Amino acid sequence: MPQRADTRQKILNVVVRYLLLILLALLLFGLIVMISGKDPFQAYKDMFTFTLGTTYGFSEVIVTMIPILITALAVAVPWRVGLINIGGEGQLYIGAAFATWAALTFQNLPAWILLPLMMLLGMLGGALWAFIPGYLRAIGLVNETIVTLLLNPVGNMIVGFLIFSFWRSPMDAAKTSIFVPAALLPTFFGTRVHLGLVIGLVLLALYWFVMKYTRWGLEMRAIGGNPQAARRNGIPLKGYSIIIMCIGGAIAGLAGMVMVSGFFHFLSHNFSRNVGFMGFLISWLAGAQPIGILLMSFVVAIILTGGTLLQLTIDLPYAVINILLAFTLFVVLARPAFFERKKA
Amino acid sequence: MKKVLFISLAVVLALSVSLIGCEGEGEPAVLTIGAIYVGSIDDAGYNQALHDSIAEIGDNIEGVEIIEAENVPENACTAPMQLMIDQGADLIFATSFGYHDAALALSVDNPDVVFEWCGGGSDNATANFGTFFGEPPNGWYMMGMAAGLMMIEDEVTDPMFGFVAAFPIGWTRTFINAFTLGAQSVYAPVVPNATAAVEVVVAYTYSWSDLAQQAITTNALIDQGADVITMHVDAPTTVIGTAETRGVYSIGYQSVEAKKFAPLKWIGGIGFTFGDLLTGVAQDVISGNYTGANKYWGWDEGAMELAEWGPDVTEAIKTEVLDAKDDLEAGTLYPFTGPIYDRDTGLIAAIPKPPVGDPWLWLTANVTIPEWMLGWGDNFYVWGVTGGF
Amino acid sequence: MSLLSIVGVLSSAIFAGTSLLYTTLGEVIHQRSGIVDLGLEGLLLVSASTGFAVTSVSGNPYLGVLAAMLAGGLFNMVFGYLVINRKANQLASGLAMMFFGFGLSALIGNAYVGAKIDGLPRILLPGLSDLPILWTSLFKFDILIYLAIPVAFLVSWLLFRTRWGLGLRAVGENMDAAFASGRNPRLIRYQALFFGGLLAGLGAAHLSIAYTMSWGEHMTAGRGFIAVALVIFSRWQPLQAIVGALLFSGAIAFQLLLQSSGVQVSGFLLNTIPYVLTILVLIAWGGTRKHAAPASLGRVYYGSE
Repeated sequence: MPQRADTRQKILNVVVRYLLLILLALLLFGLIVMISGKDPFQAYKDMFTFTLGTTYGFSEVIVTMIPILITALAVAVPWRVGLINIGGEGQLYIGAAFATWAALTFQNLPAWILLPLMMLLGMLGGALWAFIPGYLRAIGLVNETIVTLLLNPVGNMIVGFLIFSFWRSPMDAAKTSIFVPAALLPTFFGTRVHLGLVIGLVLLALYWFVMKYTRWGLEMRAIGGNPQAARRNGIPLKGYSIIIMCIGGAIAGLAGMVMVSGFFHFLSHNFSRNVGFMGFLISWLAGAQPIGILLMSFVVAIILTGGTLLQLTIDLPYAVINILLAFTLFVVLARPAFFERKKA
Repeated sequence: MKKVLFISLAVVLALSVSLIGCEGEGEPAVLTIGAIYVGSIDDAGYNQALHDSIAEIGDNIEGVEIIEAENVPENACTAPMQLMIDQGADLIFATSFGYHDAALALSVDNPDVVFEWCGGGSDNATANFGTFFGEPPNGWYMMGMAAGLMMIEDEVTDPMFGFVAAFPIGWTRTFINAFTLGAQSVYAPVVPNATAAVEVVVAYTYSWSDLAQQAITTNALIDQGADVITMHVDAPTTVIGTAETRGVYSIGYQSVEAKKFAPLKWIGGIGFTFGDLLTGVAQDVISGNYTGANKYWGWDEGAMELAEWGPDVTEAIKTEVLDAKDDLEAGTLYPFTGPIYDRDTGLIAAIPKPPVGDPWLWLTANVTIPEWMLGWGDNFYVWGVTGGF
Repeated sequence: MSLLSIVGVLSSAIFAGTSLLYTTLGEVIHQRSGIVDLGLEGLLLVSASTGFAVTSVSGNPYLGVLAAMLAGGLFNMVFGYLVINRKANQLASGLAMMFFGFGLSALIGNAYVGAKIDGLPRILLPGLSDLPILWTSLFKFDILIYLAIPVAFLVSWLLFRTRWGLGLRAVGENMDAAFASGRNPRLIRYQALFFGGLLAGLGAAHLSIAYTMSWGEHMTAGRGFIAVALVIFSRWQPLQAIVGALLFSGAIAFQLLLQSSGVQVSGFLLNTIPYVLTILVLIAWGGTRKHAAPASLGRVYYGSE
């Protein structure tokens, strides 16, 4: 089957190029590490043996990957119809706040009711936050890019307001009280890997399936390809914009719920630390392709997790790992030819 | 295409070989200490004070290895601590208030590792989990006295002290209260409904480290007429420095190093100096005698010290404050001896000493706080405090 | 609430608004040439840390200001390479630059955390030296504050009264037409990024060298995004940016005045004002005309090679 072989060659091609690009990023960052007087080989050895060579390290990579993966999907869905959702960060905060309300209010419910309720509320919160830009876009008033961007800090500030007013914990610190056990996502294998992984992978599979095999997916791709033609073919653009934005927001809200319920076990101000923006970058770099999203979020998670180690072993500030992250993004961004397939 | 594949594989291979080649070999340490900080260890504030204390362990005991991680967010501190354990840490210092729960959880999973959390208000000491803290309220009381005495010295008729704070948490309120009571103790006796002699105005920045917000907050308090500025944020640099440029007195907290930011208008400050005490903890861990405890080290034990005095502070003021320090250390003076007036309810709150009662009592009854819970925090402001919600 | 405290709000607004104004002016220039720079947050951090480090080493704050400006301009050249030469998406590249700035500034500033510098000297407004010290300290501004409004006028003049500005705006409106009329869109966009980077770097310099006189990781705390909001709020007009920056910093100063005089307000909710206001303003304009945004904002110039 020559065609199959051709596809395999193509995939191999892409993988090799990706690897080369990441190697380039590693080289560049190695230079920076060297300039600051540290040993880059030691740094990389530590990073990779820890993240890929130890169970604990690998589990932490997965834990880091979960919210990035989900927020990337929150960007990918609207992207398919040409909507730019740069507001994952804000939607995530509002989703987490909605879920937290349930966790703090219905402490006596059993987990099998409380957790789905929190998920639903998280999605509702995110969807509401995304409804604003979706609606404004649909009625042709304001571009959704800028509104989603502006609503990001607002989401975080609302969470801050709630924590310091209604949800003050008895410990009186800058966070809510710790959730009851029923409000926590179950974890696996004695690690911190939680049910969020399954949620993320199911969402990813769903995204792939809907895009590839359903009428919706077809319509969305049609809109993304040529909105005018799609309208002529009777696809209701306005309704689509709103619904798709809300779906994106709901996914981001779910990411927020997963973070507070699976990882932090409480809600705090500033908890996300740019996860929403990372999701945006990953979705963009992967061209909203499911496999690409999975791979990129895995790579980014390795970098971020490895960074935790760098400050311990070679005494560089934790934030320095952002340079490696940026280099990885740069080399991929600087080669848009790979992702030319769907250029807006 | 195959060529590219080949080359890249070769490079990866070469890289991994060279990586394996540089296996490090070091001498086994007597004790490996891991320490995580919420800010930078050079911040001239809280983190530096803790870092300097922990570094002293290394100076005092031969062969101690210290692994440190700075700028670790409170909600992402589990991984660095676990990594330190993987690197062989026997003793972990979790130095920020928000690290408590994560450190406690890890101590359950790692019974061979000792965890020491810096903060007050925990009663969770186990065989391998302990807490330590100083007595900042006593220090704040002294600083309040110093500020009040300076006002008498300068003949200020209606003194106002500005307090720049990060978050309205219990500790902060306790500090504000102790500071206010200290100032009131020297400036004028205070009763409700009389004109306040000393006013302490509080403004929150809602961030431990947003420097620009600290600057604007400090300026706002000075514009309100603050005669002295003090702060409870991570690093004193901006607040103290801004007060200096505006020509307003300042009082430092966290690290005794803060004076350099206000060479002219500095009054004094208090800072943590845990070095010797933590050395004792480390020795206990080495000898196997460690048992977790909730430690509140007093001034007499050297957990905190006064910073150098500023140039405008007279000998008489220094003497009066140092006398009070002696009394505080001896236990004959207690900052929260009543009557204390809750500014909202006007109730008299005498805070009992020694500790009695249910630890959570202060949550329900507004005014009665067992002394050891003070660190956990007051939930009221004493009369004389304005602002702060 | 005394007279002093009300005048103080104004003074605080000027102090805090200056860095915002410079940053906003920088972004106005970027966007006028058709480039959205979401990496502003990273740029501010890199400039602030560089300026602080240079001031700390050399002891000369003016040298620090220059270094901060230069750092801003050069930082933007990396961004320019991505979005102009490599034709990468501007939003994604900007966010990548933001992460780059987080890391780079931490590396640069690491050795200078907690260092003491002598900030930019402050000069009293003439004719006020008889006032009591508390009052004079309100009107003691540094050179960057005095220059801020003239610089806004300068930017306005450059954009709307010079050939260079005309070319820059032409590129921002329609790249192909600009090319057809003999301009080089790539070069102009690079110039815009460099010049805007210098201005934003000036804003960062004011933050670290003059206003807070310290450096700390993430010290800009989202001010890069505030600047992006202010650009829209001020309709890409340098002179309206003055109003925007003052309004925003004034709101924060006023909130602190309320807080410290015992009025219960939530700082969090008040801080949402600039964002919500910008969205409302966008809605208000959206109905009438396309709110004066440069037409090719965010577009890649593919050109004719």
